[in-house]
Amino acid sequence: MTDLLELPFFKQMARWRYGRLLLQIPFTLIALLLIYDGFTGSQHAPENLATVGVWVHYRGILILILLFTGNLFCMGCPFTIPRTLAKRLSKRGKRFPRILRNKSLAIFSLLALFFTYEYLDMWANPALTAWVIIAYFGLSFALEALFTESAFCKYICPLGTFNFVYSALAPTQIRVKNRDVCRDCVGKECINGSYAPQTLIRLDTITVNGESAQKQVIHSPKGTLGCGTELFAPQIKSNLDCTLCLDCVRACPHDNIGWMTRRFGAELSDPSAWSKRWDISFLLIGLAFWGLLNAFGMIPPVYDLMQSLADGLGLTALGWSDEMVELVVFGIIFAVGGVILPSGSMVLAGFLTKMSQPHPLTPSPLHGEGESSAEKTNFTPFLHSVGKGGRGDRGRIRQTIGNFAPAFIPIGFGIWLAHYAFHLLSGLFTIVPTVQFFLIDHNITFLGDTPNWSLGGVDFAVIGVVQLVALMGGFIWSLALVQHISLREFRRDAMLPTLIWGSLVVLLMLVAVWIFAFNDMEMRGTVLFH
Amino acid sequence: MRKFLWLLIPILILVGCRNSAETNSSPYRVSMYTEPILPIVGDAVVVIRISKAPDNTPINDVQKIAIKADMTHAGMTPVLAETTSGGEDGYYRIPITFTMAGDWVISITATLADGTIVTHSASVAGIAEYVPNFDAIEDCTTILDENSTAEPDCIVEVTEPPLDFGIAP
Repeated sequence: MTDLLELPFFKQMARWRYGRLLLQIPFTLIALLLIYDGFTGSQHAPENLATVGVWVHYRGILILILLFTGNLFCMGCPFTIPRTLAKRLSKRGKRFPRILRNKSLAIFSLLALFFTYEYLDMWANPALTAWVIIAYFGLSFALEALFTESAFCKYICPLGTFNFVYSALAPTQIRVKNRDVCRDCVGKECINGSYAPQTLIRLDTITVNGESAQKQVIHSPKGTLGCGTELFAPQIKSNLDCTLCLDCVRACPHDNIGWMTRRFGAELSDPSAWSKRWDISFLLIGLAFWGLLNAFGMIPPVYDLMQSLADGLGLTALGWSDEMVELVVFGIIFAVGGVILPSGSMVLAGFLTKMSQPHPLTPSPLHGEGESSAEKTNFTPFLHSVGKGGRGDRGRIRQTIGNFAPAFIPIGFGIWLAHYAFHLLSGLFTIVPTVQFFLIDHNITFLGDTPNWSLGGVDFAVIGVVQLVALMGGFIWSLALVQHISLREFRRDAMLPTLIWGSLVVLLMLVAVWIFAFNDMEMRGTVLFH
Repeated sequence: MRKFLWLLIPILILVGCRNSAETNSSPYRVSMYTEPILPIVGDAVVVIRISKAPDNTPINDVQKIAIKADMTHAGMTPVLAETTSGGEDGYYRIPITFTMAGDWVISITATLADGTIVTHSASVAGIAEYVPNFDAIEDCTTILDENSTAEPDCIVEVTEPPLDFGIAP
């Protein structure tokens, strides 16, 4: 494990109070530029920085960065700058409502974003894209002003939620260097922060390898806030909820937190890394389905399906406008493909897994929520009989689903990568004439006095190979994880669970292959019912 | 609050500097349609007519007409084509290849004999993969007459009388 924050430049930047701001400023300027061009520029999407920047380049580059480096976008997120302002303006008295302290709002916001993206043809609408960016700034500001924790990042932000899930594949993670130091740390500044209205000085006695040393800890108005998403550094086992803000690194008085390298997707096979909550399992599995849903919206059969639904439900006979019929039909497609299919599939697979076991006392219920296989005790049979939460079958199915849910991250990532890589690579160089167009429109001609619209992208044959590699890579990785998890949880009885969950992965892959290989993409926003 | 108001000044200057913010009324009329009228992915012809108001005098001596066909989705490579040949009764025909199914926007830039540049754009929606998308024609609710100044709202624009191909009815 290498601490990337020990590398020259990174070391200074990570610990400098304004290190993150230095990354956020260019992102903020870009966001403001996109808003400006979105509202005042050409409303023809290929000529506008807002649409080209957001829907082609940002998404494509983001997903590659997530895979290779981690959640760098959240680190430089421009929306947190007004959030910081809100923090200073507000009294920050309230916690986010307890009932909403889960991923339900994030799931809703993700689905809402995907729905409006398709229904309102956001990809073809610069002004609407600008409004989305403004909505992000506004929401993060309002929530930060109202609540103590970073509620927007942790519970609502759809982009952040997407990043949280797929940064699980990254070869980096925030970790502590020495757990002994954390054990003796008095202030737990990584989560509590080192901010105080008046300067306070404290002496911590830290014992490492039997040797004690005293460390002076200063809290002051120049101190750093603790982790906004309330992650306690010594307990971090996954990248979920980590915005890579490095506040914990800056706040730690013992210089005991680093941005460590690890193997790709290390947390996926760690049973203690993921909470076995329904919302998290649905998010992980659902994102793979939503990737298919999003891609399905761009191939011709979606229009046939919409027409069939409109006819079958008699919507076309009601005399409604095409927009209204489209709203209803899209709503049905999203409800089925985005909610019923993923939730139904995961519950069915969980139920079948339970049924497949010859005896009810399988090891699976005890895994997760901080307990690994190595921690099983003599009380195991008793605890199995009641389920960990004492809720019997329901608890066991939830645990089983929670165990297998991380296996859907690679295939989900492969589906999203295949889709976003198509847009990024097919329009890789289109950002150049779009920038030229913007500059020329402001009488700035140092990049030429005519936009070079002939600049396009990568050959479609190459894109096809990239898509194939993305899908196959995700598919094989997911299958391997399913087998690994089955063997870990069920040992000699692993065959049927492997078949059940593996079948779901195969099904997703088959649909993905059908969408990407057997259908031509169709960039159509016009839907007319007859 | 004053600090934020100061921020508005460069934004207003930027907006004011945009060439596209300038509006001018042109005495020239440009209209277009495609052949076939409901194109599919593959080859088609964009037929453009250029005339001068108020009596729609056809203009046959343009220096160049360039067309840029974009998909409505951002980031797709546009199809570029142009012609420098003379027109016939104001009509110019430019072959084009629609590379993908979906909604397209065709932007026309005509450089007239005196160097005047005239631009026009029109949407060609619902280009299908194999068979013409007959649904698309239904959206063509308003056929504009040549004196209209309103924006056309039909997918396949027919703002000029159809060409007479000399085919007997």
